[in-house]
Amino acid sequence: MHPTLPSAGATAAVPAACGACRHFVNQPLALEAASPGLASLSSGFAALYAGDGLCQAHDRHVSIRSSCARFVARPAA
Amino acid sequence: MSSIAQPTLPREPSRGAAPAQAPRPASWVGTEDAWAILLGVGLVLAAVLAVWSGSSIKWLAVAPQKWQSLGEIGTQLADGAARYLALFAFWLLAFGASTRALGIATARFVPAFCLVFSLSLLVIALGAWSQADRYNLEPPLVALALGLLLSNTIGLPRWLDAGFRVEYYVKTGIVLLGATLPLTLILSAGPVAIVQAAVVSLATFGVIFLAAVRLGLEPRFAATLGAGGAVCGVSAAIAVAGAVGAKKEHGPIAITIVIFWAIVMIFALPLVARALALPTGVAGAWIGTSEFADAAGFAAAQSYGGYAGQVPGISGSADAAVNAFTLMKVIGRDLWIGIWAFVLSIVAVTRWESTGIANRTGPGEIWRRFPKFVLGFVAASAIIAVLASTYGTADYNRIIKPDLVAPIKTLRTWAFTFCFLSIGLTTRWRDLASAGARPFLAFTAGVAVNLVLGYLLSVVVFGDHWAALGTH
Repeated sequence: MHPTLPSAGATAAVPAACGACRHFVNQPLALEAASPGLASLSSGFAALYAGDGLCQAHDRHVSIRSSCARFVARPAA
Repeated sequence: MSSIAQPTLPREPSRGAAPAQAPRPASWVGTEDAWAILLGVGLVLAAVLAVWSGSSIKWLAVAPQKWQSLGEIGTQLADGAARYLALFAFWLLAFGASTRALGIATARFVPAFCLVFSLSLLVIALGAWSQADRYNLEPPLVALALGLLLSNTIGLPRWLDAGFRVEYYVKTGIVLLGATLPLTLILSAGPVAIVQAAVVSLATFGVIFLAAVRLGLEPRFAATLGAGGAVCGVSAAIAVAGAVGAKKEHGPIAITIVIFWAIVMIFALPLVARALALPTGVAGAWIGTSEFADAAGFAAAQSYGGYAGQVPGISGSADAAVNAFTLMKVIGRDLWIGIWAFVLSIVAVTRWESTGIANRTGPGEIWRRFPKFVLGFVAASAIIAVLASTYGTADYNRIIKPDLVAPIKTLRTWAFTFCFLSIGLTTRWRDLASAGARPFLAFTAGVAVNLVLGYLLSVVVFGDHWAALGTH
């Protein structure tokens, strides 16, 4: 079962998405550094990536909206 | 298995290190697409306002003209020094401010862009030499070759990559291209491009995917490779990688293979098309189905367009090559990446082995992954269409073409040249991931099918349509 976050005013908790996880990295320049050649014919700043990033726990490309059981909340800034 | 460290963050992390910053939101506001639309459509509107006020932006849109001797080009540049400086200042301000907003350090961008602009001036000037066609010195190819030479022999400091923004430059160029590509042409020729591109894309993806799986590669990797070959190159490969949850190391492998074939095709496609004396519109369509990235494809299409009127036997206009390419690649292929990603994410969830990651996909994926810069392309075309409707043909040819369309074309040429140079300057063969024989073979099988099918459809089935592009 995937970790969830309480959603205010709702009876059902909201699954915690990768976007809120400390294992998730999707800063454009970090993606370019992690993927040699990405900036040669594409860009970490492209709109079609829609927030995609890399999961350091699974070592996979993931959508910002994905979720999993290894979620760890990102520390507040 | 390698992983990305999470140190505290520099604004621009060193290679391989990831900043522990808050994640970038999924919104497209603040992406390169948004800035390309702002800059491109902004330029078009400025050009329109200038014409309405009895003026023109052509003073700013300066470029070297035909020359025969070094003395001539020297005089040209000296006489136009103020214009060239103004143009440089304009681009520096526009790209500098927007890249700063994207998070790229201005202190790095400025010197890098100085280099890009200087080399672009050199390349465009060389292309205007009266003997350039004799020595096949097409500006896109010269720009790419110069960039590759510099980055793979002498080598440049990596921090200069801050100014080599391939995608940003090409997207800006594409938005400006919209202003020079009639909306009526998009509407009339677009459906043919979509049908042709769909056939080739589905066949190419199928061949790559099946070949990859037969060679023992996992389906998520196969899908990543397939999207790279069938849809829109590196961008599609990484978008699908995210949609299906591909392994981290598979993205760079797909990137390496796409870059290899994209650069081969930049040189090969124009050469082969020239040997076959294909009309410019037909060649542009073939390049549109058989190139793997917008930036690479524009280099090839613009090169072939340069043969128009220069190489005996090649009919059609220079614009027809670029227009046909744009219709095939941008309208026929790029537009549909959202659907590819959505469908493949469904397949990944329902048919392939679980990765332990739940991907919440839905039809919204189609819009989220829509290449938003295309909206700017269409908007620019629509603006000019509305403007043109208020002029008679004679006045359109007397005023709009020289005072609005021509300067926009010149600015577009600059943006594309920045792009072509940047491709070469950022492609360091030593740094690319090792591809391995199996992924390379699977992708190459798709390349072969793509080339043949693309040729048959562009030359045989729809040859008359593409040859007549823009002549009606």
